[in-house]
Amino acid sequence: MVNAFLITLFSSVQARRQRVIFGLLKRRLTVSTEYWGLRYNLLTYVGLFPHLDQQVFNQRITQFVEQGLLIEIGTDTNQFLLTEKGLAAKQACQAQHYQIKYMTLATQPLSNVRDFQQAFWLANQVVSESSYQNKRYYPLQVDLQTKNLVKRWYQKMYKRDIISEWVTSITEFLQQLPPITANQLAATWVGHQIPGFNLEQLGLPTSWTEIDFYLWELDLFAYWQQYLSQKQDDKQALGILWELTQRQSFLSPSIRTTVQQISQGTSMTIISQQRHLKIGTVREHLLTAAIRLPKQDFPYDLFLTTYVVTYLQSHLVGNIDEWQFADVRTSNDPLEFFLFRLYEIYLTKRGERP
Amino acid sequence: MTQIDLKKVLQKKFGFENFKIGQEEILKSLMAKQSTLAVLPTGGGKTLIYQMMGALRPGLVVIVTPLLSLMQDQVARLNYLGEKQVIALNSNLTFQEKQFILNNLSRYHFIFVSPETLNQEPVKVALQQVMINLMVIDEAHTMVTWGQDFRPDYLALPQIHAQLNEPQLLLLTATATPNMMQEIVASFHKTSQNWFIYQQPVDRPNIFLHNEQLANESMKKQRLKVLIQTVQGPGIVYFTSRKLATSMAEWLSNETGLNVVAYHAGMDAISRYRVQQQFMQGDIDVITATSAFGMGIDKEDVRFVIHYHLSNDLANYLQEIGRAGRDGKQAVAILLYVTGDELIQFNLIDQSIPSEFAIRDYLDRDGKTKVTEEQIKLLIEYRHQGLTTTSIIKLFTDRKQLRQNKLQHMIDYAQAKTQLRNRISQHFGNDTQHLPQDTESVGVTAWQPESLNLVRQETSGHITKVSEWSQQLKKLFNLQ
Repeated sequence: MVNAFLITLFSSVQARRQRVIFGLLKRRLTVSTEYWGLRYNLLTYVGLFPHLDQQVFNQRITQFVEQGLLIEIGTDTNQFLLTEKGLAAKQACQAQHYQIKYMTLATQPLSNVRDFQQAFWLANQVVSESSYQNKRYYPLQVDLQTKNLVKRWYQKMYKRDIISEWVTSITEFLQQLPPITANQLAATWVGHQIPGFNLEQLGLPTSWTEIDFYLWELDLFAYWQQYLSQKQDDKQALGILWELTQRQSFLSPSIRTTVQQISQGTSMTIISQQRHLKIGTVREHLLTAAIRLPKQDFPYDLFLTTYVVTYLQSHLVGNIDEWQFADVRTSNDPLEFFLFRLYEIYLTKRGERP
Repeated sequence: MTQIDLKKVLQKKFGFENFKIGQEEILKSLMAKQSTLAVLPTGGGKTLIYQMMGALRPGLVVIVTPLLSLMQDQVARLNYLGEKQVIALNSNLTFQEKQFILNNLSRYHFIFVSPETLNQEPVKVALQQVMINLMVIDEAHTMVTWGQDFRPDYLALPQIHAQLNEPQLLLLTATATPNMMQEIVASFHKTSQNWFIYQQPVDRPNIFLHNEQLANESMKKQRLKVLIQTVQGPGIVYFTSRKLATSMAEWLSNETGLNVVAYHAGMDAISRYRVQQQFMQGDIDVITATSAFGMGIDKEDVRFVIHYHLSNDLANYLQEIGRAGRDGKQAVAILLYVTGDELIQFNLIDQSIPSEFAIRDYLDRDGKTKVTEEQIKLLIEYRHQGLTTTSIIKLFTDRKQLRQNKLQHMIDYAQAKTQLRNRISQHFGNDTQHLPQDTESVGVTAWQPESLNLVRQETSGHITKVSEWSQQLKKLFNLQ
């Protein structure tokens, strides 16, 4: 099922690690996984399939290899390139399946989009039923946190003209979409005596699978998310619900503190001592922040001094993906690897890709 | 508590005038503190029994239930019936959510839990701290039908029951043979002296039984099409594979112009919700489904259930056809069979139960290629119980034999030329003397929908079309 989509995550010019792609989709992240996610330009897909099964995923990759779509670079490297046939398959997939439009511009982690989507579904049903004064219905079964969140939200809405606020906000957003898309999206929603439409009932392309449907819906909610985040002052019922669902941020509070302290001139050693963090953790914080933040928001020049850059430049040439730390290493100081990796991140952010 | 009191609660709290058959006896037994095994048909009102116990006594009602998808349905149904303090505890929850629930158990009235989750130490510890009103094991036949193949934690249920200080038990199932009942009750040996067993006859007189043998697959497919076109819906067609259920929905929709939709456990929660609600609401003519469909569904007016493939055994078959005619009106169960269909089921048994070679390979040589993760879990569980490789192999071989025997009963039924009703009732140890004689038939030409007044009337008038979003909003939010 995920087949068609998975092949599109590979490249014919950049060997990609199976383990990294799985980690990204499932949101099992290490600094290394995220770094490679950045290199592959796949960070958009972090947490796209939280229930992905590792065995199933590995089987798919094996199948791709058997079908001659992927080829492993060397033996047991876990790195794969699309073959010519694989590239054709990828292009065919892209033509037949939904192409993500909005998620790539996300300013929020995907989990927030998903939480917003779930909360919206339930809230929309609650508001719809309340407009018919009906209390006897099968509520959509969303995850517990979302359910509680919607409950809390609805209690707060008491005494407000929730139906008209709700309809106004929905209308505003639907007007942003192409009319056909707006019709289709609204048709998926559940409400009073309205069970909502599934994929095959929506008049979407017949080549689409459940995965396309999932990506299509999620992508539209990512767009809605961006739309709402631009009008932060919106205190309508929907705006409030949206705010409640924005629980994750790209950087954890602890990582953000580390970046702040570094920017203010505190050294890694002092941070480590003050906050009882291992120095390795502080370095990981910084690399994670560098990967996740836009280039201008991270103080690269504090680390990548002219001396460091000159040294690295003179020892490293060619494709970044093939650089070896061993070529620049001069001692056992782990800071060296930190600088090496940070430099790679910096160059990637500057737009250097294979 | 007297009979009148029970009825009063029923009327006051639940708005029903009368009990369904068996409910009152079971409730009385429960109020008299007897552990109870109840064999009630699907739609026989099992939910009401534990819901009522929740109303009659304080404490938490713990309901152990096998399927995650079913759990969601059950929570939704209790919500629908006005119960707010209902929670499902299972592997879909995050760690924090689970912590929250366990720390606040006393706030809930009903908790649904999978055997796997129930067997976790923190869950048991938390449950030991609260007063348990009743421990319900729903679909209790799974303890002896597929519990041991896939779900080692089913084996632990009697032990867990003891660890929770032996709360009163209510075991519910729609289908159990006398042997199965013995097996189930015996596993809770400590409390076995005090059981109340209620069994309602399995025969459903309003469901006409009809079997057909077809020469080959393509004739079966064509026959299915004709049946769907001619027999009054709404109906359900059961398949063994998700893939086939999905592709047949598309084919049948195209061929018949009816609204045929697939349903299986591989779909996400909201898609399943939409299909269920569309079906409940009468927007769908026919559902093509795997056995996952129906366990939590209360649709009264299903007129036919067709089996395109065999069920695993007669118990499952009965459970599935039991979704027809819950309103008591005429319905029909049709079994389509082609010689060799049973191979699918035999293969499923082989896949789910590891072979002697695979067991030896894993246990003695640490080979992992021939066994699945679930099987490994089960093998480890048996090892922990101190069993030798040879005795583990025997367990599995016996198990396989048992399942093959059960399947054989199903095959015999599919191949039978007469006595369909008798076979089923006999299989479940029921008296066959008073069974109706003229409510079954075998053979393609032996039965016509006219004879039961089940001719498809309307052509489907509700092929869905997406309307303007502004119109949709008006309907969603009652705006004129």
